[in-house]
Amino acid sequence: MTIAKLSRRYAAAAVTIGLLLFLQLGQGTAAQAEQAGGALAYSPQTDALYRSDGEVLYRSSDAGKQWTKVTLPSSAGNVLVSAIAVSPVGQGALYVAGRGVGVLKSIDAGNTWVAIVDGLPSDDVIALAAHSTAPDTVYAVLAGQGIYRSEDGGKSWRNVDKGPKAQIRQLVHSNLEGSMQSGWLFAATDQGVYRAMDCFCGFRKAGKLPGPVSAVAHDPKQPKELYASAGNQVFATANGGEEWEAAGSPGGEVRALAHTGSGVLHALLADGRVVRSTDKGRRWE
Amino acid sequence: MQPAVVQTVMVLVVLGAGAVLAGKSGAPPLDPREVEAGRVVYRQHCASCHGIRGEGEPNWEELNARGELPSPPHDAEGHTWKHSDAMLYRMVSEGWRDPFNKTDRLTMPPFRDVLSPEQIRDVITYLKTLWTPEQRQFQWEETLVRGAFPPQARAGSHHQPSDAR
Ligand code: HEC
Repeated sequence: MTIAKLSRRYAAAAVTIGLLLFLQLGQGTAAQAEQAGGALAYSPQTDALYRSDGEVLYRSSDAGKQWTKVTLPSSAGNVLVSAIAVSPVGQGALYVAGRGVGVLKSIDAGNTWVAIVDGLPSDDVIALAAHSTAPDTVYAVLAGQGIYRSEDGGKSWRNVDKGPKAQIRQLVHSNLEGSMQSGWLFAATDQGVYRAMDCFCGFRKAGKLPGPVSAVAHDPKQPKELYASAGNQVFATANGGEEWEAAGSPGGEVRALAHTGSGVLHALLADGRVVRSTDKGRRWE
Repeated sequence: MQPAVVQTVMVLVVLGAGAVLAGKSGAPPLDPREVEAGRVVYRQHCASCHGIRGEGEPNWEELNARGELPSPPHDAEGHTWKHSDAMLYRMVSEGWRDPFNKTDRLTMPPFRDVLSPEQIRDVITYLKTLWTPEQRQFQWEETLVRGAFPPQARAGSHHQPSDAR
């Protein structure tokens, strides 16, 4: 083979690789823009709220009036927080995930952190969910890799499912009864809400909410009652996601939802405000 | 080489790779007697719904016209491998329906009055031959964490149907 031929081949290969990279990057930014910033979680143990605008993590111990920044350890400099989860049982472990940090865990309300990434193939975590009754079980949704589960507080992870056909934006574990195993998972996706038993034997559409759903939350005291948001609207179900009804609008685009289990539903809006409803999502303050 | 020889060699290579994977993963080998007995039970009691090769009903992932989930596959395409031995035993013994089915009947019928505990164990052992080595490994680990067959279904025990309760 002549040098000329070789270099032509090399050029062709380089162009192909370049094109693939370009397409990949293009997809990456589109997905990122779609999931634009926003995570919210409530800790029943400490009555604290955690929120993120996609970059910084904040904590509030007065129901969202004042917020203080929580410092995350970062090796890579630029930290992007994509998901927050708090275990409602045991020590109330706080989990935070995102690019540049992978998954971090704190058992002292964010003072100290440990990275829990053993067995996770990337740090591109889209969503996190803490098990509603098992204190050491936590789930992570990884872009393009499906759902991972840890049952030892993050020491080890394993792939448990490829996830629903739609794109997950937020995941919650619910203590709703009737599961073959120990509960259910509800996922807010770009095509409505999906539901699966936590044996991961099939994600199915929960009710007929059309189009992209940005967030989903359940009431741990009344697990048949769930809330979902699409655009400025919050929807409510009283039968585990079979039927949804429009509840109210918190006055802005909803990015994340969190229920306290004691009658308060919180919503994080696109402008960073956290608002609350005490009548099942109808009126907001 | 003769096509038959090539085929045999290929089958051996695939089996070998499977055995290596399964061996590495730690899932114990299946008792061939249980597998054979289980195959007979499967053909007689399960195949009519779950398919002769364990392929399930068409469109098994969606509710059918009656609002019930159809019989799922038991092969590598399904999710039977996601359950521990204890859970599989319970579902075959006591029956099961998805709680969001629109009807109340047990669409997966209970077999505790039809099959003995050993037969339930055998048919579940047979289902394990339909999975990939990775799925076998996963199910083995689930069994370690979430429970094995009940004592009356363990090797060496002999019972009548209805003891499966
Ligand atoms: C009359 C039809 C019918 C027969 C006969 C039947 N099944 Fe089923 N089976 C079903 C249906 C339907 C489901 C799904 C129920 C649901 O999830 O709502 C099911 C579910 C199951 C599941 C749960 C699978 C999973 O991963 O969720 C197992 C295991 C199972 N069957 C095993 C068996 C075995 C073993 C036999 C024979 C001894 C058998 N079935 C015979 C209809 C049947």
